[in-house]
Amino acid sequence: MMQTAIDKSLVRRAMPGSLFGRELLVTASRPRALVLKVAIPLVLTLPLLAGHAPTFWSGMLFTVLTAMTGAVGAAISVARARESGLLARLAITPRAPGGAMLHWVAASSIVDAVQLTPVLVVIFVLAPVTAPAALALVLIELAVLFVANVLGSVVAAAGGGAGEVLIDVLVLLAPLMFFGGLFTGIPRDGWRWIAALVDPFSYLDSAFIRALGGVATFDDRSVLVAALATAAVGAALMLGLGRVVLRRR
Amino acid sequence: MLDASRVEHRFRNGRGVGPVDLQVTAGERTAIMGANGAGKTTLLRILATATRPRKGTVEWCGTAVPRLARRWIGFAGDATPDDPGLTGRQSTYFWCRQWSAGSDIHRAVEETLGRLGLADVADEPISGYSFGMRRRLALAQALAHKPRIALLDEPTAGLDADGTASLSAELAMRAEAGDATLVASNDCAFVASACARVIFLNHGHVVADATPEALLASVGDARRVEMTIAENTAPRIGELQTIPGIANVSSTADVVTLDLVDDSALAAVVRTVDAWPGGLHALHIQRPDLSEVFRQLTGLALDHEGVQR
Repeated sequence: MMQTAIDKSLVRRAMPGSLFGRELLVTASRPRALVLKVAIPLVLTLPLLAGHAPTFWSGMLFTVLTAMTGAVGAAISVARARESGLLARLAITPRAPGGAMLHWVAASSIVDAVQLTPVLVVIFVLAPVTAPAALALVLIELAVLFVANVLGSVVAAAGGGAGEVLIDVLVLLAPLMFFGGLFTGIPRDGWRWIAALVDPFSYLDSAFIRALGGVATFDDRSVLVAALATAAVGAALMLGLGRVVLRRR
Repeated sequence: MLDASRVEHRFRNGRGVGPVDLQVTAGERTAIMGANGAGKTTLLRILATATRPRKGTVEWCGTAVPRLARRWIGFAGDATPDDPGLTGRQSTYFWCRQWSAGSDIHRAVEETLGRLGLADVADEPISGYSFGMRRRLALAQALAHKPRIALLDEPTAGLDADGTASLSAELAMRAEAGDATLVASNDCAFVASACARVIFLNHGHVVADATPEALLASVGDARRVEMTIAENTAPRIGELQTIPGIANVSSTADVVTLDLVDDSALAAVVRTVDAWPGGLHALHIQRPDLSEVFRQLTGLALDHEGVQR
């Protein structure tokens, strides 16, 4: 009880100077919601790992979980922010729209990463993971969460209310996950191989499968490079399209 | 300080504003008044850089580039702050930081919250605030960074008497500091006391632009009398027209309205109406206010709009 009171006091005394700080503070001010957010992925993860599910299935599920956590969460929160007038208010401040949205998705990605950290910890504890594979998985996980947040935010700019953008996000994610080979694997030649090479979900799926002891499509080095490229593309996208997201009414 | 030239923005349904010319100098407190759909909010949004006008130009403190102008602007729209989980102080600090990179923000936030009567609740989450407290907070967030140009949409909606008085004092303080304030408001009492200039908008066009005193003088000082009577006596209002010292007698259903040119005629009016079957139910006497000036100029009522909760 005493600890909670101190924590609450600390949270209420912190002053958010940026959208990044604001989003983290808003999350910290609702610890119960955060606990629930962390618990739900664990409920899905533990039975899969404890039941020794095939690595192909587990990798697919964890990748879908990551994509949905990032993109759906971002899309809904951006849609709500637009409905409440928050985006319209931000759009007329002197801050650069791209920078403001970058702050937003960065904070949202961190919250999502906190939400999925227990999943990674469980994988690292229960599965035979090498250090390079673990590092590659953590970095591609962060990068995919980030780019999923960017995609969710951009899709929310085109959609209507929170319910509508949920469908829009699913329409965007489904082909990306298909091209990433989540459902069918990736043929080693032809256009689908090229599509998989530029699809961050294929690298995340591969990193999960490797960490779980399966046969992965990409090696750790490729996954690391893909993580950096994904983060860079996500940041460039957000800087370029931030104005559209903020000013869309 | 603010110079809008031939600004026009019309929506597909024909509503909107313009063309409008508007110059606001340092320290001015200007009110924009008009009936619903007159274009007040659209004009304010254009001046706040939220809406780009289809025609015309706007200059803010010498720049016509909205991105550069935003540093000089503070805007409170009709929405109330919605920062779930944040306290009033945190939310105000955040918005102040978005508008300004100044180093003295903590003090500015404290002072503004104090002046608008929010110091005692500043550490409480906004989710527990009443509607009026949220409206005060919206004003604090638009004014804390001391903008050269403040644009406030319906600032008194939801405010109690103390809140309105605090806002008037805030506007006076800004004027002394040389900062301009534009409010879109149909709150006649507030505008008459807090603003030195009034602009009437009708169907997007300026129909009057003067001081409140000049506008009020244009309608004379005849008091308006409004009487509620029994409905079936309405045909007898012709009797009132024979009383000397009254003018403009009219009736709608059970309400009779007339202008009292000579105050001494009031006793005769009351005696006459009270003698009718059912008698006089209610009597309301009012000095002409800005809504009366607007009515005479446009034939429209100037309803005091509220903000949707």
